Amino acid sequence: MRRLPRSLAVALLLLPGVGFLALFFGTPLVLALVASVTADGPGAKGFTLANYRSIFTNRVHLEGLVFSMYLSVVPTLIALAISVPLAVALQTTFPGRRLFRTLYQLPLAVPTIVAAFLVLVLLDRGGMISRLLAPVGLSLPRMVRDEYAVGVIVAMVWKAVPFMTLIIAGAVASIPSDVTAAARSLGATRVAVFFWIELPMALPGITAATLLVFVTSTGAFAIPSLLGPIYPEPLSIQMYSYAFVENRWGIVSAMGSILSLVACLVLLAYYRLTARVGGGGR
Amino acid sequence: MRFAQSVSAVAVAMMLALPAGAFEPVGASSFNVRTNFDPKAVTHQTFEATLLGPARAGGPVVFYDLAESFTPLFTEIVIPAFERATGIKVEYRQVNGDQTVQQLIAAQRAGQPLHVDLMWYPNGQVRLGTETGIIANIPLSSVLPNARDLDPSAARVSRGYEHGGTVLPWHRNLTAIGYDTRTVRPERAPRSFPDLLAFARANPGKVAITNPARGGSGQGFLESAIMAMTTAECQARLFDFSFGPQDAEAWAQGPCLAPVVAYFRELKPHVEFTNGNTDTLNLIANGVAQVATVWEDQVFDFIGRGLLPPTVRLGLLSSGQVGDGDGMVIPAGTRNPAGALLFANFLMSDDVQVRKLGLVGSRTARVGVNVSALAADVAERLVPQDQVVTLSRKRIVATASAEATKRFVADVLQR
Repeated sequence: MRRLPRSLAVALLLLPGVGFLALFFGTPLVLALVASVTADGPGAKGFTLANYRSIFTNRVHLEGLVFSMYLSVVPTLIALAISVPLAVALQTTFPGRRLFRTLYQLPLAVPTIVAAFLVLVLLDRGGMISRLLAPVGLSLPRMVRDEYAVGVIVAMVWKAVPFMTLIIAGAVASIPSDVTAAARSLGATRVAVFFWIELPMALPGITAATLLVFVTSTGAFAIPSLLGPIYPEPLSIQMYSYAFVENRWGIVSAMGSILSLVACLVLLAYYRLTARVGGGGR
Repeated sequence: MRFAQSVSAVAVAMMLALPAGAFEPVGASSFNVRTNFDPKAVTHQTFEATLLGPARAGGPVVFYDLAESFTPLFTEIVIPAFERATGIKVEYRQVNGDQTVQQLIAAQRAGQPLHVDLMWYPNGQVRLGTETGIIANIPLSSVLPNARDLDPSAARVSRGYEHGGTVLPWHRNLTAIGYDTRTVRPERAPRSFPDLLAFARANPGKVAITNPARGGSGQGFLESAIMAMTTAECQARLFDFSFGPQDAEAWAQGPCLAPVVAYFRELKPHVEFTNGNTDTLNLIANGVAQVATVWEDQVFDFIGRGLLPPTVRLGLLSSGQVGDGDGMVIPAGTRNPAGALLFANFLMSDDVQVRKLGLVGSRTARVGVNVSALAADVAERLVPQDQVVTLSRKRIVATASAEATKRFVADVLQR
């Protein structure tokens, strides 16, 4: 029996995976890109860059884009600052560790919209915490519909921390205990071991978790919609209005393309970073 | 533009000239649905006799409802009563109106229209639905016997758009000012725009205004402000369906809205703008807001379900506040138009119209329905009837409202 040429065999082996991606990811992406450069509205036809121009010249859109980035970056950094020490702490033994390992993952099972309502009920003006504090003459600062989106950040961090911790804890657990033990035996403090051994060795897991949370946050809708400030609105909320109220799919596609581009740039940065870390280890 | 206006005016005049019960397609020479009965045989007198047989043979009527608060009314009262009376099954589905419109358009473009026989249709999307052909061109307002006494301003127009009767005005509602009598005595409740500003200044943070970009009660409040504060010249085309997006943008960006913008800028530091109608009501429920912009039917429903204290009352500002409502349409993908017509007619009956007002605070567009016999505890959850008669106004065209909202976002919220 004749063997298939190697290149053809490789192509055939890749076909299911690549075909699936092309059909269910590539095609919608291309359609969205085409829609984003096609004039919409009654009677409008043809190529246009007006939708992209609008995003960068219309203040409402531009500030929405900046606010979307704010809502991606800030919760991700806060969640990261909590998750990394938490993941390392979970490798040690302490009383109630098993119970804690179960409890900290609970937010994973709570749908995002429910998390938003929890924060609303707790932190809104006249909410549960305000009512508890009122008898002792205390009051909460504004945390819902506030200009810094504190309520949004609280809800997003609450959802992201267990997810990040789970991934990072896996990366930290894979670090051979001999390495950290050797460092300690040579006089390194616990803090030094964390910064010089555990953190670099867990970096691929940390960056993967960061990336996933960042990309998820970029398109967040339910939490900013319920808890966010009146102005600006992140692009995700503006996209919903343009699509389902104004039927303007061109601008929706352009906004979606911009958000996807940002996510892709972050992904590229991730690959460069991990490649550098990998290269340094060789 | 003038040509389009003239053609539309002739079309409307022709439709108005048709005798009651005449069953002619709207704006076309043929129907855009496949009818399972003879349209020429249908008059007010022969309505049920002609349609009952084909409707029963046509299978269940698939009905889409966009309002959550109406679910018990439909599923526990109206649909069982219709099924008992006619023997025709109704398949009830709760949907998001705006999203469903997009699905109907996408399915229509793909040549595989969705099977929906009757749909509660969002009023801001009537122009889009008509232009894309997803709404059946059946003149419901003149065909249905129970629609014989519709308020003429609602029968063939939806937010300034002349649809010719294809959208049956099933539900009417009002934007209003809600206040909690635990903290605001009725005689001290704001009754005008200056009153409201003075109240907000004296009680900072105690007035909740729904963001017009996120909720109809806020958008209605903005429209009411436009009607109260702009000149007659500026209002000349606010009920003209040919007022397109570009005209509206020029109008909104021009000097007409300057007094409205100035009013909202004065109001802004003293009030809480909210993320939607329900968000506003939550602030009243939490005891934070004492006065707020609301929808009448939503307040009625929330009090009835214990989500708002029964001490909340409603009123209209003395310069008038806008109201509108949504209608039922038969989508072009219907497979049982006879059943849809019978069900739509049943929805407009005296009994259903009175019950929906008493149960969910939804007003009727039929002028002949007697709604004076409501129980006192029900009536006090509604805007007082004398104010409804004298102070309710029509909403302005959707294009003008949308562009005014954009100006509000840019010149009030953004600053």
